Amino acid sequence: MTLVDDTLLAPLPVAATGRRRSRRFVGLLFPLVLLGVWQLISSRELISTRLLPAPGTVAQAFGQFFFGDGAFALAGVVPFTGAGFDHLEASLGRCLVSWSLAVVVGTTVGLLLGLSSMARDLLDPLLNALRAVPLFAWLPLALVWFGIGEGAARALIFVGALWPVVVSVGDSTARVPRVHVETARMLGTPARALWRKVYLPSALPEVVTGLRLSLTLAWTCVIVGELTGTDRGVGAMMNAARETGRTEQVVVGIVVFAAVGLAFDLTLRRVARRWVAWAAT
Amino acid sequence: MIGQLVARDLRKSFGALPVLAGVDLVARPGEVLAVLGPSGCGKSTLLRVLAGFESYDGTVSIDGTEVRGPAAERGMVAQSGGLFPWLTLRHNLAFGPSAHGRPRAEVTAIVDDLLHATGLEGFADALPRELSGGMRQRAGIAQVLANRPPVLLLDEPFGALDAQTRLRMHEWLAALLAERPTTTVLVTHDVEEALLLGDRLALLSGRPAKVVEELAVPFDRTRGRGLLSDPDFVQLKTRVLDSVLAS
Repeated sequence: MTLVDDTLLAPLPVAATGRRRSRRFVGLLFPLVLLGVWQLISSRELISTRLLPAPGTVAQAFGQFFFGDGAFALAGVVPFTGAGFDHLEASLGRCLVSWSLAVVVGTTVGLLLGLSSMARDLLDPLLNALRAVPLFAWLPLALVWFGIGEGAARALIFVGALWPVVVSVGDSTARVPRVHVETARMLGTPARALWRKVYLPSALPEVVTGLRLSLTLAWTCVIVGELTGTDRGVGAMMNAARETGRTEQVVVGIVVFAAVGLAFDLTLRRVARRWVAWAAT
Repeated sequence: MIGQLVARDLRKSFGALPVLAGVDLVARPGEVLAVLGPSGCGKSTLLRVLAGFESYDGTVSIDGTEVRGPAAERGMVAQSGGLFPWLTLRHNLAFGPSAHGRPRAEVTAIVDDLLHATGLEGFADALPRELSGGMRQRAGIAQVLANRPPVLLLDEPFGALDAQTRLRMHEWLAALLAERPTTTVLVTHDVEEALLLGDRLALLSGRPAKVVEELAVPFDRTRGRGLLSDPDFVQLKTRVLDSVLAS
């Protein structure tokens, strides 16, 4: 027995319109416009080049940072010329290791909060209070606990990346529609498998948003972490450049941070798109 | 044949608010029992109790085994449908048999059979949001039937559909249940739906609900839209409607 009912087929999602594509193109032009304004300010010397170096000077420093020869060091210990990839590797390593740990810990704590009202009642006040502590307030404690350098840097990045994961996993799993949980139970899913079969997949769109936010925050926390006395890392380079008054090298660091942050977000968004395609509107 | 559902002196309160006040019901193996009642009288609560989702006082049993908690032998289809939006239709239908650890080949055979029965063969890889309301409700019923439950519990399954689609769904479900006899408790506020699908009707009073009248539906199981203009049907519909409004 069949009842084919094609007339009831819902319309499929509409593709992005031409107008939206052209808006995105204009959005891509904005950085170029800003670059033009920046060049104009520099060439007319409206602001001192010590405070805002010309785009050409920054481009030259950028080239030196990644591709220059020599062993020019900032503040005596932090190399600059030709050290770009080395610094980038150090920062990325710190960021990704700490972020991965934050994702594992944050997902576990978030699931606990989302699935257990007792855990929520007991832990929510403490976690909300800890979440309100600014990252810089952890800096002295991180230095005392982990010493100057790598350990403190990783701990600070971990703390910065943790909360978006805890909040997104906790809130979204607590809001999973009851009908999904009941249907799964009725269809024979054991209670111990519900988190894997229902809670996480249902919460995934919000969790992915939390992961994106968390990765971006982890990356921005790298610079705080690298204030703890590390001599390798983009943040360490920027700090040393500031101490020696080389503003163009500080701007190089800003450009690197922005580019990597954008690349992180685009990559995670692309990877996640497949997981959460079902939630697209 | 299995699937005898018996509820005796069923009582349920939410705090100080009594919702069910001694409901007695029997659904015989293979029959469709339509439960009718005024809006807000506790019909959905009754079905949730029968499904094992709510605690209760009194007794509910299936083939002599008391109901305590949800189980695959009582498949309930909620008004909003139970499809998991992150799974394709094929994976939704396979969810129950897979949860019971059935071999992959058997799961595939069950799913293919249900896709055929629902006329959704061409949509196996579609997500629920890509289906129309009527398709989603058919798929929701198929998802539950994949476990071959002796008892099917339907909570106003077509309430959100337009009149034309609802009529098609009535014909489809009547044919499906004729082909695969399953004890069914259908909760609805639609008298026409109850008369088109039910073998017997149980009328509930206003809250707190109890059964105030039971009556057999004196028409063949194969009921189509032609029955709607039958004078006996119209007369019975009017009488039942009067009873519901009076309860």
